[in-house]
Amino acid sequence: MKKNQEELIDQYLNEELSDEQRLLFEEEMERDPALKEQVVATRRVIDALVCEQEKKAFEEIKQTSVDEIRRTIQAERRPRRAKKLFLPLFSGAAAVAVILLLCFRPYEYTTREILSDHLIPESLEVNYTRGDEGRFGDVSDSTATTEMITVIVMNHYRDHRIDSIYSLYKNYAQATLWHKLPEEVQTIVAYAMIRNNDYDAAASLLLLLDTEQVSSQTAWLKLIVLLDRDYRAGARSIAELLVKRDDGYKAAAEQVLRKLNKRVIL
Amino acid sequence: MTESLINQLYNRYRPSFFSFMRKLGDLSKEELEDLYQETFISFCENVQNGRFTLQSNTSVKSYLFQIGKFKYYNHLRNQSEITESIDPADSYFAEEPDCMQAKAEEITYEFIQTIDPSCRDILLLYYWDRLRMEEIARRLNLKNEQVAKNKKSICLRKIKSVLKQLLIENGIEL
Repeated sequence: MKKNQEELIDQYLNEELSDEQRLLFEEEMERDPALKEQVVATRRVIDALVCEQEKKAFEEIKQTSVDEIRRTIQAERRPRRAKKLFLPLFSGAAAVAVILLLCFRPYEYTTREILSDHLIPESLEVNYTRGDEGRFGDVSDSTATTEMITVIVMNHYRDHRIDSIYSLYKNYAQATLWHKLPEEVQTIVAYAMIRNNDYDAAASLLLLLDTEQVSSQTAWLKLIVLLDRDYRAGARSIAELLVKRDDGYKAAAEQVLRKLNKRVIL
Repeated sequence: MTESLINQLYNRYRPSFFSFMRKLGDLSKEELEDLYQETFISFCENVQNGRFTLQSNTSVKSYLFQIGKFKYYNHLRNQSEITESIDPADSYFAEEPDCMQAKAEEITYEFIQTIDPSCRDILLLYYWDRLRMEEIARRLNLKNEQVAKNKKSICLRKIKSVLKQLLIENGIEL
């Protein structure tokens, strides 16, 4: 087999040919059974090699928690630093050049860095009146009602017991009523989850809410959760919405947008 | 530092996933990154809970595309306020296995376990890591790109030749 034919087969199997080249190659294969045989044989070898690696990767996936996998692939998304330029001949000049390069290389904020900018509010603005918890008596996981959870959450929040709200969620985590709570209550619960670093639980509540329909503080918490998951596009669209709404979160949203949008010079 | 296999798998299908999704809709690079990340996590969850296993009639790439496609459609549905969602894992149907093909794959897979390690290394660097010959030559301490190219070519030809004989002996032809 000709060398360039081998390369062509590789390009075809690696999907490196243009649409036109691919069609021509496939027509050629139909005309030339020997070429087709080589393509099939090469594909078999590649598939077996890839399958072998995938099997090993599957074992790694099975032994790694989803959170760890998420962290690993988020690190992949971290922009790679610009390659160091060729060092000049004179070592003194080279040192200066390297220092300049290190100081002025382009830098893009990671979502972790943006999250560390005190984005989590100290408190939420919520209007409420104390409810009577006593009237619910003893309840179990299966009999917990949205009304009961609402009253308890509101009372805890009124008393600044954020951790108690999170414990309440943990106690009734199996109950399916969380998504049925009024938005305001879901927001407080999600806030308690975030304050307790349980972003996954907060995501399970907030990501189902329609951003356009919710209050700005709920949207803001959703933005935090999206940043935690490194979903930049989703976080960006919420930040843009909050800037447009201009009702208390504009400055903070603009700060997030600046860091999401721009490469800055250190 | 050597990349973990999870990273390698993630990077392997990323470019083709992006090309595939670009055909479905007008997505920015950032949206594609988000979608691929979400897709890959769902894929890993399905590997962990046994909903997806490697069989002769399944492909990681097609499965990732399938999940990505449904996630994208669900995203469009959410935007148009239609709430019914689709679970990609429930809608994934592997092709009916072709017995002879499955047998050929099995023979090839077993044979691949026995090939010369230096051949395995060069073929993996080329077909799995998708490195350029220049980089392969550097990693394997070969004289230059051309030496690497020749070595890869000789290995592949030798493997295909032995494999052809093996398949014929087992009553399998092209």
